[in-house]
Amino acid sequence: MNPSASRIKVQPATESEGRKDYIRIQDFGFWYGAKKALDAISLDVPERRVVAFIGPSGCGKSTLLRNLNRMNDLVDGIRHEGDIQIAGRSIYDPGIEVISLRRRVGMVFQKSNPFPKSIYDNVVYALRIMGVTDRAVLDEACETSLRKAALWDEVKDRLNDSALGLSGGQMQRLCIARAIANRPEILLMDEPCSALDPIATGKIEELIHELKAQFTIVIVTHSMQQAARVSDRTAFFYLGKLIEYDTTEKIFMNPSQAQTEAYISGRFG
Amino acid sequence: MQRYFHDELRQLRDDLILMGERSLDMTRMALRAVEQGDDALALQVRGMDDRVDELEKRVDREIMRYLTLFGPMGSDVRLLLAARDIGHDLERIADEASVIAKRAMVISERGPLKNLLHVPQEGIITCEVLRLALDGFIEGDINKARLVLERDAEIDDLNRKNYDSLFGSVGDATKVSASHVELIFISKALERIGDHSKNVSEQVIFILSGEDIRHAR
Repeated sequence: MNPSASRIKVQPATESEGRKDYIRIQDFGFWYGAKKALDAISLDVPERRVVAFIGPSGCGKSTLLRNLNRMNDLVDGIRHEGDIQIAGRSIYDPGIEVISLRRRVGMVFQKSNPFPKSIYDNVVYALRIMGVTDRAVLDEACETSLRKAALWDEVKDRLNDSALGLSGGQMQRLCIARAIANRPEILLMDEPCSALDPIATGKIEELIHELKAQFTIVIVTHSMQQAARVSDRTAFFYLGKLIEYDTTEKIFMNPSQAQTEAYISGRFG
Repeated sequence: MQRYFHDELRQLRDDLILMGERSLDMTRMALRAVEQGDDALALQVRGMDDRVDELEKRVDREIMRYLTLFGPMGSDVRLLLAARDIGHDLERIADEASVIAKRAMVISERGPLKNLLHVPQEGIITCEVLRLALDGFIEGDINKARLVLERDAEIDDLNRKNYDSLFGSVGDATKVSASHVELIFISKALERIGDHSKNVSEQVIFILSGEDIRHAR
C-alpha cells in the first residue's frame, strides 16, 4: 500500500476539463464508533460530470457517498474529520440545514424504493412535502421529471396506477424521477443497477449519460464495466483509502497504481 | 437499443474510411507524378504520409479505448479486431504511395522516360482494386470484398510482366536503364498495395461473416 495513496489528487478539473470542481472532499476521515471507515480522502468532483467509486466490499465507497448528503448522520456513533464542500461551502457549516442539503443532493438507492402510492404521487411527493399544492405546477413537475428519467412514454397513460406495479427497471427510473423532481444539483447513485437485468441496466446507463448535462453525478458500483461505460472519472478505494483517482480512461487503460491494475484486471486478493 | 458509446464505433469507422481515402488519393497522385514527371506533386504525396500515420495511431487508441471501456460483443468485437489490421494495411498503402512518389522524383531527375512498361496499366488496376476494397468496407459488401481477392492476381501478373520485360526472357538486361530499375520498384510497390487491399478485404469478410480466410490457398 502506498502510504500517501489516500492523499492522491488529480489535476484540478478546473484546469483539466474547463469545469469547476463542484464537490470538494478534503482530508476526509470517517468512523463508525471505533472503526475507521475512511482515511484522509481528498478528491474533487467536477460539475456536470459522472464520477464512479469502485472497490471491493468494505472499501468505503458507499460510506463516502452517503456522507455527501450526510445520510450517515442518521447512524449512531459516527464521527468525521476533514471537510466536504459543495459549490464552495462546507456541508458541515452550522448554517446548513441537512434537509435542505438532501434536497440539493438527491439519492438513488440500490433497491428501488417507490412509496406504495400512485406513480404521480411518488414523483411529486417531495414537492407536496415542501408545500406545493398548485396542481398545474405538480403536473408539470411530474411530466418533466418523468421525461428526464426516460419513463414518461411508458407511464403517461397510467399515472394514477400504483408505482408498485412497475417493472424493476421502471421502478428505479421512477425513483430517479422522484429525485429529479426535487431539482437537485447532485445525484448520488448507490449501485442503481445491481438488481436490474441488462436491458433495464442499459436504460439506466443511457439515462445517466443524458442526466449529466444537468446534474453532477456520483455513482457507486460493483461493476467495473459499468463504471467504465458511464463515468468520466473513477476513484478506486481499498480498505478505506483512496488508492487512485483519475479519468476513467486512465484508470481502466493504464492505471498508475499496481493495486488498481490488480483490481481492474481481476488479479486482486 | 442504440447506446451512446456506439457513436465511438462510428467514429472509428469514419477514421478508417478517411485513412483509406487518403491512401487512395496518395496512390493516384503518386502515379500521376510518375507519368507526368511532376516533382511538386510527388513532394505533396510525401508530405501526406504523416497524416495517415497519425490517423493509424488515433485508430489504435480508439480501439483500445472501446475494448477497455465498453465491453464489446459479437460483430463489434470483430470490427475492433479487424480495424487494427485494416488501419495497419492502410498505413502501409500510404507508405508504398510515398515510395512511388520518391521513385518518381528520382526518375524525373534523370530526364523523361518514354517507356513506362506496364506501370500505368498496373496503376489503374491497383487503384480500382483499392477502391473496391474500400467500398467493400464502407458499404459492408462482401461481394466487393471477394472480388478484390480475385482481382489482386491481375496486379501480380502485371508486376511479373514488368520484371520479365526487363530481366526475363523477353527483356535485354544490358539495355536496362537506371530509371527502368526505378520503375520495377514502383511496380513492386503497386503489387504491395494490391496485397494490402486484399488484406483489407479479408478483414471485411471477417467482420461481415466471421469467416477467417487469411492464409487460404
